[in-house]
Amino acid sequence: MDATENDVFDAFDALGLDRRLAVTADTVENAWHALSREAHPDAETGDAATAATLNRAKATLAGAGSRLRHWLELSGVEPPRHGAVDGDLMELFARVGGILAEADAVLKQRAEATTALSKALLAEPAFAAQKATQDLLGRLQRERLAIEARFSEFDADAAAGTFENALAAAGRLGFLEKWEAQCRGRIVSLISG
Amino acid sequence: MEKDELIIGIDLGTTNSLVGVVDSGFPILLADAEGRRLVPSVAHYPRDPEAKVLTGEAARRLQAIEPGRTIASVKRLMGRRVDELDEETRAAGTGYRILSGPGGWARIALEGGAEGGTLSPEAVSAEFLRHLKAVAEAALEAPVNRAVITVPAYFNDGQRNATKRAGELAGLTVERILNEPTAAALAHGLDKLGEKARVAVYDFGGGTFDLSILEMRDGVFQVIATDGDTRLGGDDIDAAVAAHLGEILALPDDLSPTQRATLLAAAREAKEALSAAERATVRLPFFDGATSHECELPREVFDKIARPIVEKTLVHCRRALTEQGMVDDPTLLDRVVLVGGSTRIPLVRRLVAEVFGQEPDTSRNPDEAVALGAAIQAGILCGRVRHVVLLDVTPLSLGIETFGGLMNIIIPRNTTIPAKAGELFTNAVANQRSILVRVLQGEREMARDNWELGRIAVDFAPGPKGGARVGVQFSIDENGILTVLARDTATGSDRVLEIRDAAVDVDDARVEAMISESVDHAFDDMHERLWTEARLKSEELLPAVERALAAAGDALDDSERAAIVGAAESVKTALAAEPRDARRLKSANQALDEATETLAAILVERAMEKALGI
Repeated sequence: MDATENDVFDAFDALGLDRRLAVTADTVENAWHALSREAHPDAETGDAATAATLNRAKATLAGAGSRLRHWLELSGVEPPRHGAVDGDLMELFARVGGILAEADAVLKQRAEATTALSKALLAEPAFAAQKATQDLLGRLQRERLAIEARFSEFDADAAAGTFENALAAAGRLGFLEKWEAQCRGRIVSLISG
Repeated sequence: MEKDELIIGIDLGTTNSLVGVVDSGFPILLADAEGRRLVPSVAHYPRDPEAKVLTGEAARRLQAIEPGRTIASVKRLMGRRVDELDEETRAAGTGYRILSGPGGWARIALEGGAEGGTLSPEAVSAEFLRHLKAVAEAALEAPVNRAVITVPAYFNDGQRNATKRAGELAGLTVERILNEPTAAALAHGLDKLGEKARVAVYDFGGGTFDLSILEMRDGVFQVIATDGDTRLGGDDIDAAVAAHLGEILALPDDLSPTQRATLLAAAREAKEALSAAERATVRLPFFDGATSHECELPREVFDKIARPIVEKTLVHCRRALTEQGMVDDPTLLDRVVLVGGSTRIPLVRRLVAEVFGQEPDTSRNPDEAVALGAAIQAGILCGRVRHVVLLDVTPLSLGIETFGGLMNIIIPRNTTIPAKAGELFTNAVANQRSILVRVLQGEREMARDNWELGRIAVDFAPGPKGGARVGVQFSIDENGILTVLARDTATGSDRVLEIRDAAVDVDDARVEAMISESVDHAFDDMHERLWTEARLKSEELLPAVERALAAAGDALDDSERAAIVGAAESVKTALAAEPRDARRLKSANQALDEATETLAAILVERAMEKALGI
């Protein structure tokens, strides 16, 4: 995102971490935490620019998708702008579309209902939509974790100069994370009724 | 920053304000000469232009006597445009008027006019801040020039800037705008610095609601997520109770400002009494000069009135818990801390315990935690408190409008601040001079549904299409306030871009003209509006009743069924009656709503059982 500083920014370096894709979220969090307490503008040794850089580094490395893209960029490989939807993702894509549309329909009806009784009449379809979305979210998360489990394999590939698998994974992760966010958004709205 | 020069911490509340400072390592609250720490956030502007503006307790006493010149709950107007205000706030109902000033920003017109025309909400807030500054100077016997001021975590950029301006108007350098729930967490956690804990702060005040989830370890207070509503508070409960009292006492719709203020005060008193007692007696002596009213308000009835408002806070709690993956596992949170006067309401405590799956921590005074936290942050900034650092987040996503009217997020919400992100703009045609970019805050997909901070103009050097490029950096500082810098890629120099007001400026003469127009028209069509509202509700309710009765089958007994059918008939009769009677239709709707309560509960229960596969 930060086009003005793209050439110099290295999130791993900023947090004092080795440039390894298979870093755990806890490791990132702990490194950020330890450095931030010294770098925050309120700390005696702190300043806003350093703190903002640390925060940006954490945000970049916290999610698997953005970490993978950043790692590819640092390796001099252009990550896919729009990943292609391959065969088994296509099947998932169709399901995501259907379930989200179902949830939206219920949400729209409920937004228009102003009385307790008309809301109560929508309770059944709302629960059904919530369950379907939750099941789908579970499946998406499993798919994503399966990709993350291959991150150390990608680290090894990179050492040998190969990025093919990592590039394919970056495209898939992009879709999976976007759909996960959409599912989570719908679940939150459905629960909020 | 000069260390060791005194900084005070201020909780600038909707209803009450407080001031504190760190003394020998401990935060303390400062009291006035009468020993009072809580300063009502009320300002009274005397008719005599020579007389001093009254604030605090002295102003509060005049609220029901001179409502047209006594301003309360001004925090609801801070950094707000009039078209964003809800009906209740806009009507104010208490004599002074809320108008649209230059840029559409809310301004206040006192009854009988004010010196220099209208007042900005910042100017009114500045009166409270002057009061608190004076209290602090008297208590500390030293001049005070610097302050930390708290705001609701969910305040947007405009509301934060307005608060900062209020501080400056009062002669204070605002060293930090601090989020209220974060401040409360500091106050609760200062004596437990060694402990590692996850805490939710449920902050339900007079006019705003916030929920923040924090993690504390090694002296670092890290906010993980924040959610809330800056127009939801105890004021709304008072208004709902007042509406109920108006109905059962059969008070007329067109109450005078003084009567409305009296009724609201009675509603608030009853609410406060019901935090300890099972029933409250409401007395309105000589309400219209002659008649006195009296009625009982049992807590059960109060709970029913307050519940829909409290439920709205729970939606935010569930949302935050769901997003953090904490919804099914209450043990992930070590404590739930209650802050804000509205958390004294037993119903609030009960519902919060349900949502979080644990009893909330009520060990501290809910009115004082925020001010104590502000004092601690002030102590951190002037070096009186060491080894404590706050890592807060931005509550709302920051973005710009892109092609097609979509919101393109640049800094997502819950990003730790200070934060920065860049965006590269290129010219779309050769020799384009500049583009105007709308800067937005909010979570909605469409740009128009979000809050517009203003516009920035990005200037290009002459060049072929795509040849001129300007990098723009968006930074949110540790106050949660945005600055935008444009970097000229050729020279490498930075320039601050002004965020200009969206609306065209309106000159003062037009503002004054609008004063006479705006409110006078508002009540003309009151009955028509009430009727339309009631009719829409009937039209939704009647078919729903038919469907629900069919769906319920024999789950309802005959008498329940008969009651519902009877209530539905009354609605139909009221709909057809001439002349139209909005009040009658409204109460018929209400009766039907109540008659179908059990029916609605049965339907929800069935749906739940089905979903769980019972």
